[in-house]
Formats: sequence, C-alpha cells, structure tokens
Amino acid sequence: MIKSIFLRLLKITITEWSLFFKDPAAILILVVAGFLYSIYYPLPYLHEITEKVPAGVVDHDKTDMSRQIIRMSRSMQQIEVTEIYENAEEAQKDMAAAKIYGYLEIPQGMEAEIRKGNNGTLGVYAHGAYLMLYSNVATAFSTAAATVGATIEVKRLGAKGYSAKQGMAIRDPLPVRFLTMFNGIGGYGAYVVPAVLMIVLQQTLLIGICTLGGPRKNRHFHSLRGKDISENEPLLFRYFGRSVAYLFHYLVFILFYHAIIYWLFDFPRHGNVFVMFVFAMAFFGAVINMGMWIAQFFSRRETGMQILVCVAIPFLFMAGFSWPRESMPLWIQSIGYFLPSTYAVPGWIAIENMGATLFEIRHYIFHLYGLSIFYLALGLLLAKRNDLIKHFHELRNVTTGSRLYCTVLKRFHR
Amino acid sequence: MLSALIHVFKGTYLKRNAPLWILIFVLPLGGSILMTSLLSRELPRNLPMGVVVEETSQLTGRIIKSIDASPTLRVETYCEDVPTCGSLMRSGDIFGFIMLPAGLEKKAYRMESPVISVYTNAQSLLTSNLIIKELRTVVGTQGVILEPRNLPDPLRTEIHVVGNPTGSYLYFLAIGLVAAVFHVVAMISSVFVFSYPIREKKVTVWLREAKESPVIAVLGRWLPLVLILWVEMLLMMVFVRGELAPMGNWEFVMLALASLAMIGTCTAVSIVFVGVTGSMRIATSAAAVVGGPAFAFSGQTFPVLAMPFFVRCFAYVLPITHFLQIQSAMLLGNIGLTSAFHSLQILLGMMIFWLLLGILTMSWQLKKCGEKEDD
Repeated sequence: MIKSIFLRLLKITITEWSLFFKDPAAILILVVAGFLYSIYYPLPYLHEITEKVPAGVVDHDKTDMSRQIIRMSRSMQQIEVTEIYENAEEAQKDMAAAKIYGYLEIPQGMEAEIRKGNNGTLGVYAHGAYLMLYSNVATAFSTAAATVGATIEVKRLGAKGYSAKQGMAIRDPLPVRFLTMFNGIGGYGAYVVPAVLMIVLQQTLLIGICTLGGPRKNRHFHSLRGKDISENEPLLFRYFGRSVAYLFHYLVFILFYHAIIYWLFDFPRHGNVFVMFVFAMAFFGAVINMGMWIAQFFSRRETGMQILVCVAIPFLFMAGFSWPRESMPLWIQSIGYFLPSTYAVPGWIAIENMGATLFEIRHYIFHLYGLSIFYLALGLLLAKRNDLIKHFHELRNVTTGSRLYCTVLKRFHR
Repeated sequence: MLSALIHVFKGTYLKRNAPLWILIFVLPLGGSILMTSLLSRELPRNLPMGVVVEETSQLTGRIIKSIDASPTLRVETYCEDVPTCGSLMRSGDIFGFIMLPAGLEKKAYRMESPVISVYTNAQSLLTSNLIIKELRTVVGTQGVILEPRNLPDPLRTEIHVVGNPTGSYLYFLAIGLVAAVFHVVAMISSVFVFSYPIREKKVTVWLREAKESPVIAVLGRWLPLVLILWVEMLLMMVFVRGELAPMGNWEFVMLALASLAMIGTCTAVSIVFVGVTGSMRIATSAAAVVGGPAFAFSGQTFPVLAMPFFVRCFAYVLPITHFLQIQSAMLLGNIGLTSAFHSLQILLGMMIFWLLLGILTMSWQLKKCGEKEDD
C-alpha cells in the first residue's frame, strides 16, 4: 500500500521534473533564469565599494591652511580632488554635468579668523541624488577638516600649558571606535545580492509554477503527451508529487548559490549546510504552496509571468533588507506578512552572511512553516473546487454528447 | 489614417481584457504608491540597539539615557557580553550595540581617553550608517559635558545635500524606484499589447482594423499605451517630488519630456522583442531580463562610475539610466538644465531608433503571422 502510494507519487514527481527540461517556457524560467540572474545581478557591484569619487574644492582663501585642507582631502581614500575652482558657480556646473559629485568651499579669510582665535566654517556640498556618493563626499571632507581642526585645537591647548596627550584627551574625552561585525568591508554587493537572490528564487519559482499550471488536472502541454495517467491522478497525488519536484529542483539552486555564486563573487560565506537545508525546506515549502494557489487564478501561462515580474521590486523592498520593516507603514507591513520573502531575505542573510544558528533564526523558520500551511490549505481548497467544477463540466459534456449521439442515431434510423 | 488609428485603439483597449487593465493601471499605480509609502517616514526611527555595560556609573547612565532619547535609536536590550549581543544581531532583534567598558568614568576623569566600542551590522548599510552618525553625536555631546575645557571645533563643516536639503531617503530612492516600476511595467505591458493578437491568432483582424498598414497597426497600439503610462508616471513623479523645491515651467516640461521619452523607449524596445521573436512568452522573458534588474544598473544606488566597463556600457543602453541622470541634474535647479537637456536628447534619440526598428520588425512579423493565419 505505502509502496504503491510512494511509486505513484514518484512517477508524478519525475514527470513534472522532466517537464522542467522539456517545456521551452519551463526551461527558461525554472532552469536558465535561476542561473542567469544569479550571475547577472552581482555584476554592477564587482568592485564592491566606491572609491575615488571625483570631487572639487572652491578655495576662496588661498592660504597655507586652505592648502593644508586640500592636501588632507586629497589623501582621503573615498574621493579624488580633480579640480580646484575659483568660484562656486563653476563647481556647480561641473556637478550638474556629473564631472564631480560634490565640493568643499573654503571661505575667504578663514586662516586669518582662526589665527585670531575664532572658528571657521567650511561648506561641504554633495549631490542629493546619489546616496552612496553623498556619503563618500561628506565623510571625506569632514574627516579632512576635522583632522586639520584637531591639530589647531591641540596647538591652542598647548599654548594654555597642556601636553599634547592632555590636549587630545580634552578635545575628545570619550573616543568612539566603530566596528562592523558582518560584511566587514561594507561591500555593496554583499549587502544587496543575497537579498536579490532570494527574490530571484521566489519569483522564478512562482512564475514557473504558474507557467506549468500548478496542481491543474489534465494539462494540455505538448511535452505531456502520453502522460495521461499521472495527469489524471487524484488531487493529493498531483499536488504533492509536483511540489516535491519543485522542492528538490530548487534545493539544487540553494547549493549552487552557496558553493558557486558566493565563492565566485567573494561574498561572506558562513552558512551551515544543515541550517540552510532546514531553512530552504521552509522557504520553498511556503513559495511552492503559494504558487500552487495563485497558479489557479491564471488561465493563460504567460499572465503569471507578466504580473509577477512587475511586483519583484516592491517585494524586494518590502522584505526590509534596505529599509527597516518597523519604519514602514502598517498596511505595507501587513502585506509583507503574507510573502515568504519577508522572512526568507533576513533569514538567508543571517545564515549565509552572518553564520546564524538554527536557534537564532527560529522565528523566520516558524513564520515560513506557518505560511506553508496557510497556502497549502488555500491551494488544496481551490484545487479541489476547480477539480469539482471541471468534473461537473465533463459530466455535462458527456451527457450533452450522449444526448446528441442518441438524437443523431434516432434520425439515422428514421 | 486617423479613423484607422481609432479602429486599432478600439480593438485593443476598449475590450474586456483583465490582464491588460492590471498591467497598465493596477501595477504601475499600485507599485508606485507602495514604494512611495514605504519610504514615507523619510528616515528610519527608533532603531533597536543593544548595550553591553561593564560598569554602573553616572556617565554610563547618562550615555544610555541619551541613546534612548535620540529620535533614531532606542535601547532594546542589555546584553551580558559581546557574543550575546552579536547573536541578537544575527536574529535581527537589534541593529547594533554599544559596549561601555569597565572603568569608563574613572578613566575619562583621569584624561586617559577610554575607548567606547560600537558594533554595527554592515549587512544593513543604511541602519549601520545611521547608528554611526547618531552615536557619534550622542557620545560627543556627553564628552563635551564631561570635559568643560573642551574648546569649540576651530574648523567646523556644514554639510549641504544639494537638491535634497533634509537628506530624506524618500527623495534619494523614491524617484528612482517609481521610475524603475514604470520601466519594467512599460516593457512588460508593451509585450502583452503587441503579442496578444499573435497569441490569439487575430493578426488579420488587427491588420484589417489598420487598413492593412503595419505602421498604423503598430502606432494604433503604441500611442495610447505610451499616453496612458506617461500620464500615470507624470502624476506619480509630481506626487513624489511634492515636498522638494517647487518646479519651474522649464523643469516641468523637462520632467514631462523625460518621462515620455523613457516610456516611449521602453515600450518601443518591447515591440522589437515581439517583432523578432513573435512569441509572447519569449518576448516577456527578454523584457524581464532587461527590465527587471534595470534599477540595479541605473546608478541610483551604486554609482555607474564604480561599475566595471562592460557593465557601464550596458547601463547606458538602459533608458532608466538617462532618465535618472535627468532627474539628478534637475535637482540642481537651473544650472542642471543644460546637462539634463543633453540626456534628454539621448533618450529621445533612443526612442526614435527603437520605434523605427520596432515598426520594421513588427511589419515583418505581422506579415508572417498573417500568412500563417490565412493558411
């Protein structure tokens, strides 16, 4: 009995899995897309961090001190001072033409004021449209100015009789050391790509299931000719047999990302394979059941793909990898509760990039299993309903067909 | 010609077609509203922090209180040691933590400059940067209170974010994200509009509506699609830019033309995909490959200049890159208009090129499909 159930399930699983490599649409989505996107997406971030951002200095002062500030700015790793301007308008024009992404303005009479014992203010102007470049320009010029300022301040304190060490302690009595625990170099690729990979897996899997009709009975695909028996198995066999095919197929992707993609692009790789396996079962379980449910709403194979491609960007941002979920409006958070990616993105980053244990990510796993059960119930209920409707239509067609046949026969006999 | 165009329009857009309505109305408007609302708080607030306290003193108490009082941070938990807080960071319970070492107050009064360590999670770059910025201020303020001999900084810097004075993430990201939503939706919906008759085997009907002219057949479907998406995009862009400096007439014209050119190019590129492949499925896949990740290549979050050369070339082929360059130039006011105009010329050139190529390939495809249907 158990053996026969297992064999029937296995047959459906193999039929479905072979479809991934026979059906042209399935090959593209379930085989090619997962590989292609994982190599294509990290490409912009190959250099990981932005260095030597072109920047300028507007020097109205033209003194030793202003030159010292410029020299200090030139030594900063984040920027490259490409131009010294006579006035701010020239710098602004170059900023508009994207020749520089920010500039430092040194006011006239700065050195004279400081020599008098007063303080000076430097203006740092960064382009508001570029998030990362703004940070580079602001940090580099502020650090350069702070370093020159610290030297001046320690000299002033020295004049009051304090030693250099005391001067430094007075200037900064509570120094702060900033340490990054994960993604040590602050690489942009290691920050973005893991989240994108989870979205790629989720979306391709959802689109794939929609393209192949989910748990539908008797699908009319060219590649399924002669597979009538497995196509017309009872719902539970069809549903779980096909789900297993998707599950195992996508487990290969997780291993591929862990072993090849992370190695190829040199992302931090701390994941434990067992933890990854438990996580993947929960994640794919939720996505497959969600796919099995939504696939039943699309009557044409391409519709699912068209809609799901367009929602990938919102899904990515709703997962909170870039913007904390706590800072999102409640209605967006509520939609997020129903998406596997909301838990999969932080879960995967915690496992693979931060080396989390199963205990540390238990809440993500529980949520994903919860979603699995929720979508399983929805998927099965809808599939059962659709099966019943299809059965009813078949019965009606048979009845209508037999009536028609009888009428034709009667007429023929007359 | 006009009557033929109207016939094609009626045959395409005035029929019941749920996926088409979803693609051209629900997804672009819904997606843009969602992305804008998502960033509506402009800056994240109350980020949960951990604290490792190795001594109980007035100074540590003051530091903890001021962290909790800052608008960006809140003290979520106290940890016994660094590994415990590290574990909470992996669980996602806290975004960072501060370690106040033993003997902090004593060393500070002795002018021994005791070091306070702050641990952040660079897997979340935004929160990491915010925590660093906020804690520098919080601890710096406590340092000033502690050391009355501290002189004001002789060289202060004032940071001005040009075009985005409040440094709001809404303007950093939302303009780009709304453009990205329209970029992908325009490509996918165009594939749908142009491949639908091929899939449904209604090419002869379509050509009949267009009085057998492939140019009218293409324009009759392309013009309304561009018009609908353009109006929607313009509305969303005006909505997103609402709290930035008010746009002048020229700026509005520039925004309108840039949106039109981007939508026009994206939809025209998809006509070429359909014209070449003749299949909705393959054309959708091609549009998804090009349009889906376009935002990553556009230079909004990671600068184009830091990308490898071959990726940079691809980035400049994408309409969204030029559109966002126009937007960033416009943030600088009148000074940016010349540079924005240059990008607009490129974008308009791209639109004309892809549209002509689209008409050419589509004419060939329509002829082929028409003959097949006749057979």
